[in-house]
Amino acid sequence: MSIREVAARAGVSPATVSRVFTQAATVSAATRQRVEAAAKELAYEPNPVARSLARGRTGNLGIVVPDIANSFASVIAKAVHREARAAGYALFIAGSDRRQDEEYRLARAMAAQVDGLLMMSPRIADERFEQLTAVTPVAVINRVVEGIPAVLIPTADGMRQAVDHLYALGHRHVVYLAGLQSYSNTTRLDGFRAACTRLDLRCEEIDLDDSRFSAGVRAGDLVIASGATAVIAYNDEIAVGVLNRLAHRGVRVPADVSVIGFDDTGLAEMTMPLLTSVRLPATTAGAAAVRMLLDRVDGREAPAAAERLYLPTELVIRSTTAPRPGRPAA
Amino acid sequence: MSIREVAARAGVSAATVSRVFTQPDAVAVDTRQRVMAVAEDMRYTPHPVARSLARGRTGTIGIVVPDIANAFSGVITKAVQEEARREGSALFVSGSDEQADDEQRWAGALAPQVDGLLLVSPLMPDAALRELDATVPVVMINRLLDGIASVVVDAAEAVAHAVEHLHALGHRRIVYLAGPSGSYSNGFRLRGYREACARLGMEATELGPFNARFSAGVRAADLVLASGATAVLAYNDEVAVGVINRLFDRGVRVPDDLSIVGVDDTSLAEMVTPRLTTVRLPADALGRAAVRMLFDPLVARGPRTRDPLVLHADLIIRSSTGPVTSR
Repeated sequence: MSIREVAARAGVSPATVSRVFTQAATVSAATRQRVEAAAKELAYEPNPVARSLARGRTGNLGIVVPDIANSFASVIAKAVHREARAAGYALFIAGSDRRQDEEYRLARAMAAQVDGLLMMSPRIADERFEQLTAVTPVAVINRVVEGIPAVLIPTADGMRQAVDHLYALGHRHVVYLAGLQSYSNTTRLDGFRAACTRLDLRCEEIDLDDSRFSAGVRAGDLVIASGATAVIAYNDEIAVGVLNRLAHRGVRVPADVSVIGFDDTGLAEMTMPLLTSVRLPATTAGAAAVRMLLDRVDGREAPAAAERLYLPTELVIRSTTAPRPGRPAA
Repeated sequence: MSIREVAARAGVSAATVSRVFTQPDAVAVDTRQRVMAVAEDMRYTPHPVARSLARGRTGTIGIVVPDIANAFSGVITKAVQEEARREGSALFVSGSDEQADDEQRWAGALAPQVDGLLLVSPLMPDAALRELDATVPVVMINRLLDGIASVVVDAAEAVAHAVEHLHALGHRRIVYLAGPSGSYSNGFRLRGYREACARLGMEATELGPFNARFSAGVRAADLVLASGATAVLAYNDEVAVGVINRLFDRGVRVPDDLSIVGVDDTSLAEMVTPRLTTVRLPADALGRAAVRMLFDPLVARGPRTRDPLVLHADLIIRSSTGPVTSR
């Protein structure tokens, strides 16, 4: 019994039949009932073995990341790789260089050659996901899309911890260096604004619209010009760029300016002084995303509502934060 | 028409058929004639374009790197990605965690899904590489094997320049922190180091082997201090930065008390304070050249294989090296 026969009987496309069994929430209730009825009549069962025989199981999973050379993306990719390997899958990775058209093209190319697809901080339009899930099960990291299971790392709480820490050290003028518009940047901004309002701090946002080291170097001068005594960067790479530029300008960290990053990748321990950073559970997120995806691939889960897993963040205090100059902490 | 069918009909293995076309000298004359006759009879041509037509072009190429989190792999991968995009191909990446059997497995998973495969510093045995190359066109980066296309960096000369640089600054006790033994890259660096030391009348002291990671550099730093050396040549930038990090903790100043040279010139070299003097490997050119070679119709066509393309490295002097001072 093939998916095509079920589709013909229900008067829908095979892709819709597939969605009913893999991503039920993306199909209207009426269509779903019609497909389920047709499937029942024809004794069609999308069990994992039948499915893999029909589709030709590849033994591969895929992940599309925004930037393959980015340290946070590579920590996630490594964790995904390990978890996939433990489950007997090979992993293909592709980098989109943050270009929407490229991201979709890569996702399409991968979807056809894997048993399941992960997308990290994808930027493609919501509607595109429907076309992808018609081909293969999809799960995302750090993006909210209706009907798509997701692992999310909201960073508002980590940001709150960072601002509280600076406040306790006597800082009253803080700058946030914003990254590219994304779920990750939005949750950091939410936390920053809420904490600034609550503590009545002088807060500034500088929009870098970038997330790389070179953007941090550029930001270093802007931070100095702002007169702020503390800076929180979108990620560690930017923070390290700031440290670098401040060192060149003769501004001492943390004696003159305190610096905090986000991610806590290996980079945070490579700088001198060691970088205070908000730790994101990248390894946990990567592994959880694979398990979530495999639940779909193996047909263990076909939930009405897409699963959402929220993971917490935590401030790791090292040596780039200290009491505000000329004013010891109370 | 598959290589397996030709092999079956000629009564040899698929690897032998591949060798006939890529490395005819390695096959006995009568075997070669038998395979050629069968291949002609069955109209089998191991031409990469013909091969991908037979297989159905996927519009994708693959790359297997030793460690996806490694900065140097990242630079190569990005260059490959851009060049592949220019050719209209998507790039799929797989990482091996520096284990030969894993590497073979990932390469094997990618092979049927791609039009060509790049392998960065592959560790798998020669026979496995030949077998892979018989199923999909392969170009290797930093490994040499007769009959398989490759692009390599000869860093020996630039490493020798680094030793000369340190010697000119008055250093007479220089230690080399060796990378993974048996790796192609370590071999070149070691050769440059030993030759330069011999030429300049210095003792060549080696520590290691070390993993090519930051944490190994942290560990190496204490060994360096105990050795009494005044300058360090590290296997790569990550190891060098680990050394600098630990020296900072120990209160040893760079470059006042100890000079340090890395290899790679990834972004890390500019991120560390003081900025790292390093041997720049042309990762970008390496990646681009490998893709162009993969799309070159000469690669793997008939008995004529391209010679390996050899690229060279440069010493980039920054702030982690200085004149020797009496300690």
